[in-house]
Amino acid sequence: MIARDAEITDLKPEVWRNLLSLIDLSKAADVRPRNPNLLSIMHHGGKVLRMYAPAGFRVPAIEQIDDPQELAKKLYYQLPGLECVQILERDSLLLFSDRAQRSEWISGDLEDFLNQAYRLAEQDPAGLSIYPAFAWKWNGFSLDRIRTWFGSGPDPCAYFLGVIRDNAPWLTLILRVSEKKIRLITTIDYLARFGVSVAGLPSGPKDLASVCEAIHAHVAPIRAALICDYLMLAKLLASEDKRRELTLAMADGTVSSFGIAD
Amino acid sequence: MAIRVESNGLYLDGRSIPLYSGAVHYWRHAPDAWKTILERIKALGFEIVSFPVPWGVHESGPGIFDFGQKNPQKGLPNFLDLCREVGLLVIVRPGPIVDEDMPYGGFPLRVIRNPAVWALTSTGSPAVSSRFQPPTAMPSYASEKLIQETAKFLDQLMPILTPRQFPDGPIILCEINKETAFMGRTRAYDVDYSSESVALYRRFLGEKYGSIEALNAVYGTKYTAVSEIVPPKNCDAVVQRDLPWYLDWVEYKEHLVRRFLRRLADMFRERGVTVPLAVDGPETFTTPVDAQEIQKNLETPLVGMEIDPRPAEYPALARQVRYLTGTSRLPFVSRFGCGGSWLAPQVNSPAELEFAVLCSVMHGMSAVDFHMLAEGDRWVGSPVLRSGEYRTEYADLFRRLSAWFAQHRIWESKKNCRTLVLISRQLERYHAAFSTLNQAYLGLLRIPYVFSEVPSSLGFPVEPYLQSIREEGSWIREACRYLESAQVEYNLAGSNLMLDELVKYDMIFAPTADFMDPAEQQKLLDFAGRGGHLVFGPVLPTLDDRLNPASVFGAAIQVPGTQARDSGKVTFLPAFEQAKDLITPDMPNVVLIDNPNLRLTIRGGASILVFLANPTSSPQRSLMISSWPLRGVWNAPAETQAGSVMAELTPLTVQVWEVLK
Repeated sequence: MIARDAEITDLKPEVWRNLLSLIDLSKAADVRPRNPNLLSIMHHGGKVLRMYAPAGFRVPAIEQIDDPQELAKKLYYQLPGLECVQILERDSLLLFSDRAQRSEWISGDLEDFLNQAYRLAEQDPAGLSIYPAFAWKWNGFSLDRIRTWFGSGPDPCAYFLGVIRDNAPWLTLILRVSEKKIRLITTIDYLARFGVSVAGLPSGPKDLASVCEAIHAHVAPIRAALICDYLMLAKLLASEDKRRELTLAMADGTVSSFGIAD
Repeated sequence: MAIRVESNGLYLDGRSIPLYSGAVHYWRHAPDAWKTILERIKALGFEIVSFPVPWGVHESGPGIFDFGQKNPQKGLPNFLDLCREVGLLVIVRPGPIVDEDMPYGGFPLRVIRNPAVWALTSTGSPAVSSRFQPPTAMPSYASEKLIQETAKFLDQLMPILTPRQFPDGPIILCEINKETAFMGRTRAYDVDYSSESVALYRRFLGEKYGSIEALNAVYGTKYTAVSEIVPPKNCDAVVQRDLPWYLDWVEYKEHLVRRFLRRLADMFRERGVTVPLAVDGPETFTTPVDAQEIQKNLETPLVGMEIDPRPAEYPALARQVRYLTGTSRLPFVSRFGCGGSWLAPQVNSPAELEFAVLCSVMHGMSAVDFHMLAEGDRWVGSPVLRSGEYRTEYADLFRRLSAWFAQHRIWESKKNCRTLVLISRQLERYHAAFSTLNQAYLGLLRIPYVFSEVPSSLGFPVEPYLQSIREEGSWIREACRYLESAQVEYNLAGSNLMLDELVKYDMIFAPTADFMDPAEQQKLLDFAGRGGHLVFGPVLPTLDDRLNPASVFGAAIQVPGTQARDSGKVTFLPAFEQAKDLITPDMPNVVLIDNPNLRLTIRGGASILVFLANPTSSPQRSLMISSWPLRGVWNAPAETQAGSVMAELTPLTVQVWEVLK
């Protein structure tokens, strides 16, 4: 999603810290659960070599594995609370590492590389038996949905997120997308170089129009924008029905958005 | 005019200047902003700037170079001349590996895409580094093609650099490569299995053993030539006799790092570099990096270390700086993270950066290069913006630090430290050798750490693997904990430190295994013989490093306890529960505190400064008892206080007090 030569600039440290608290960018393409509740078993030709169970899970003694895929599934349902069960054949691990580094897609961008690596792991279900299967999600959105959404706008186009906390801008993020790749990652400070007065901007949902106008003029036509309060954003991200939550918030004026609700 | 590296910085032009610098990446800034940026950096209190020269930026086509002739932003000669005009000295980093978040690690694509320069994994695949963006096969330190291509680049670059060396120009230091440690892929059986590397490995074995018969005697094998030997690709050791094969491979990788650096150093010298050379070391201080051997090999004390400060991880930071201080007479942090890459999980606030810098100073840092002072693209949190304007709160911190360092002549002072903890090279090699599943990309699958451990059953009474500094609960980690709880400051260094360095300390803690180099044992006994106190444990060695029966320590002491040895003493200490009276009143501190959560060190020089750090996440207070009056000089009350002082520290802060002696 992020072009390898993307311009990443004018990142205000405190704003960037706030963004990182929302999403750990360094792991953005990492499809594995961060949760430590991961049961791992390594075997060689069916003979169990090592097993690692997270604390609090009583795993039955296993010496021999005949059907790793079935066993992974069985253990997952047998031990509620586990995020994932992986049963890994030793030689398949070596093969995975080897094939990952020989692949043609190796020189793609980092996100492509990681995603392709996980796809590669899925191609050896008997050797690398993982249940449930990889599924990267961020606050309920799948990676594929996010990519599709980012890639569906006009070319080029821009996205804006502004979050207000204690009546001051807590987070601003501007993205410019072209040819389905993010080409610019920046904050509202970027606009200062064009003579836009950015101090204290945005101060609330009411600033949506002026911010969008400036971005349109100096970055790209706006595809989607959202300005909301910090607590509202947290509520929105946690909500099961984000569309409904957003509609309600827009109606009562706590959020202003453009191109999001659809 | 020769520039000398001294313990307080660099001596040039009849004066000593501190090695206190920061990076600015000229090619990332518009040329019309260069002068403003340099002036702003100087106004923050810096006399030196540093920058890499990325090969890939300047090679615009095969063999075609642009140093500003076409694109002024690549105008290296102009930038160097501007540095001089502004009054800044320069540390230049010609690579060839620069990384710096550059596409392909800073290499021209034609070079890095050439299989002849690739490092290979144990399965024969290219070793792809995901630290390069985009992920790219990393270069092999054994590749002759890489050396040949680097020579062509240097042939173009050096005519620009060499006429601009001090005193004719601003360049005072030339740093070789970046972080020469396999791009972080330091595990034993991951890389490098390229044919050229394997050939060097065989040559290394030949030189180490002298004859195939000698090697066979150690390995228990029947090779007829070293060309028959293949390197291990995984640890499958079953008996003690298997060990040397694995340990030699680990040792070879140290040799490979040194050899590569030596070749680069020679290439620089052959092309007219006369200023001192420096090495940018990685964050690690165990195999495959051995700073002491690199210093000897390159004849420079400036083997630095990168530190990416994470204030919440104070113990790791303290350990790194203690190692630097124990290893080099000019402890040089060659890249001290100032701000962070946009991908970094954390961007330090000015307060966090202040804590990390002061902690590094309190544990011995005496030279530093901040990375980066001027914010390039893809970077967050530098004191100078791309426009040349200041990022106020960060700039204020550097302005304060620079002024304070100058006022107290910090770089001329030295940490008071009479205790050394040695890191056993053999134990660390053993730890590296006893591993499996070293392949880099297995991390993607969240392989638990324990899966890469090999259950050792070689019959040693004390398991060597568990005695590595990497292992919690090891003897060396307990030694460090014991000293810290007693508020005794210490340094760390590799066990190959020379005797004339050892005798600068009063007390040395040395971890042992059942096997240990007899010469190393003798050296430590000599230290005791010269009046030092040697403490070793957890075991009395009974074998030499080739596993033949031998024990030098055994002749001096056979049972746990302390024995006098000439004017010194030797203590055999199996466990620290028995370490009651090791720290004796003959090791006093100028200042004592009563809170074990705080850390205290003292730097002596033009003035005596007491550093008191609160590395915890909660407020702490402590009574400070001093024989002399104290006055706060950083974050502490400035009025003079005599006798005992109550210090109160907020989380992750450092106070500094001057002793008015």
